[in-house]
Amino acid sequence: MHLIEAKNLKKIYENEEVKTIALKKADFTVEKGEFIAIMGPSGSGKSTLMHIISFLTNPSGGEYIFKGNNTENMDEEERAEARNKEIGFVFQSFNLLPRTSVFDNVRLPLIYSDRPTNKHNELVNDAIKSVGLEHRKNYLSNQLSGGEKQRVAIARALVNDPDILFADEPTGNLDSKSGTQIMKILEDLNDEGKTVIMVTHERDTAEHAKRIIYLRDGEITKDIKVSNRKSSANGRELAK
Amino acid sequence: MRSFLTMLGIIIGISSVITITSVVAGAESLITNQIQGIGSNVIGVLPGKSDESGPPTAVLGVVITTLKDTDTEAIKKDIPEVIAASSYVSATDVVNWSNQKIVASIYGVSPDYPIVTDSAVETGNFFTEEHKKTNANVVVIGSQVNDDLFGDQNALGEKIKIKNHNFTVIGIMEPQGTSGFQNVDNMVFLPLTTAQNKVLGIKYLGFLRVKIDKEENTDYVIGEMENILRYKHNIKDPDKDDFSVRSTAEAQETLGTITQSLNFFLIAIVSISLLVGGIGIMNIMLAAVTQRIKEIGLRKSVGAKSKHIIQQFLIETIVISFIGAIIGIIIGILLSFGISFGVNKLGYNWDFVITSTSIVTACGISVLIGIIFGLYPAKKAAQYDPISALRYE
Repeated sequence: MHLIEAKNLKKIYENEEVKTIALKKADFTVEKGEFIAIMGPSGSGKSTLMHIISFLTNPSGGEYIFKGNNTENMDEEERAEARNKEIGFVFQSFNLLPRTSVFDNVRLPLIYSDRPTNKHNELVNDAIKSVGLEHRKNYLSNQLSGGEKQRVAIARALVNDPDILFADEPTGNLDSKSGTQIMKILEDLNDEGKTVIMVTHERDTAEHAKRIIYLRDGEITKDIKVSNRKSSANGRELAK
Repeated sequence: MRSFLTMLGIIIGISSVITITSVVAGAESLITNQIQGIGSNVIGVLPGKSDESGPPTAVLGVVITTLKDTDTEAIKKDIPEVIAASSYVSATDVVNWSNQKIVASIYGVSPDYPIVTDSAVETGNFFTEEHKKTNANVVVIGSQVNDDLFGDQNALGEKIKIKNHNFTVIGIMEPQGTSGFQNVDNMVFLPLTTAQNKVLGIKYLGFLRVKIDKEENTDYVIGEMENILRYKHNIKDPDKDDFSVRSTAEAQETLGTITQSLNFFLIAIVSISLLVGGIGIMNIMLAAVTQRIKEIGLRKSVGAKSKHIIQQFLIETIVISFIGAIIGIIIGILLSFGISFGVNKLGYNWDFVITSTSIVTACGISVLIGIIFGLYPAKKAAQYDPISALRYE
């Protein structure tokens, strides 16, 4: 059973004036433990594809099969549950809660989960430790650097132990050093068995992945395995 | 700041509810005390007709000249259940003694006045029928008049001047405070005919009061009084009565009805204020939802369902509304205390009343307002889809 199976996925945005085909056709599969980069120029449909497979939006056509289950008839509540339990999302602009501590930001997905409340502290502390930010646990999000914010976002994405980590341009708002640290964290997570799917328009960043899916004008043009994958020094060591 | 503005309407509305319920309770207590101070088992007659439920016309300041002292005398003579009866005329005027001058209420009354009002002379005597018959220039003064004019001096035998006439002080009343919404201690009592002829220049009465032997006889005596008055005024049709007969119990009931109506009216006004407060809450929460669209998107992206978002915003609204209610209750209590303090300073016995019912009701109203007016913004917040919300600028 594939972790993800996408068959002829489409996404059309319509309003009264304009009809936009953001994704024309996408067919691919994802296995557990893969590290995939989805690449393409602006407007290629890469973010739209990411949003569909991460349950943030419904496809307009085609089939999306997740862990062997067709998601076609999922209602919004079921998609919300999948976003909470099955996936973790890291955004380009971090999207942390302002005026809120690192601890409370990382804890956010647990509030909507059915994990017992007395386990929350332990899970949050483990997630924060996994990105090397124990010393910043009580800092407010606006007191952190860009790299630290993204690490908090990764910890938040991991706290519920999801099957897949999605990252939308994870280094887009970071300097090169912070970007390298973030990529190393993603590599290490993948080495530990986590499936990572990342969207990027930067070749340098994409080459950290083991497989690259290219999109252009809403369609997959290439789907290749990376032979000489880029690597960094231990990301968590760098982070400290 | 936004939270404070959100709750301002609730603060004003709730403090008004607490103040109004306290003031009405205090007013009812005051009215009861004042009317009971007139005297027990007392029936009053005012000139002019009124229907049974409304106030007599004379109370509204209209001068009606249909009542005479002969009416009082006939009622006392012909109804055995009437144990005392007094006519009343009144004015406010300057009272002079030596180089002292005060403004006091001048009352012309019958010798039965102390019996009717359950009052007594502390020093000296009250005037008699003889004084009344001879238009004697004698006066009995209230305790405050005594203090203000004479201080530590003995007032008995001294002459005070009202409207160029000198009157000899023959008695000083016991301190009584306020009764029938009048400061009795600041009154000066003349024999009825003396007051009519020498001070007021009138032949009619302001009103008359009688004291009856037993409360159970009230309705019967009222009937008899009406019959006597119709006979003396030559009235054949009760609809053409030129007088109003009321017992203190009826007066209390009438005033009680008025205060209750006032209560409902004021509560209705306050309800409008609470409605406005609720609309204010809704507007500000809608603005808050717009400001926090990205946060909503984030929460949804990590697994929040619509019900979680609705719950979050609804709870925020209810908490703000409830805190507004607490502040409003505190302000209401302080305002009520201030009013009670002020009215007591004027000499009235005003009870400071805050009921647990009013506080619980206020808290309940605030929660209800939070729910009703918070629901729409909360539902609107829950409708955003995560992607559009996260992209919102």
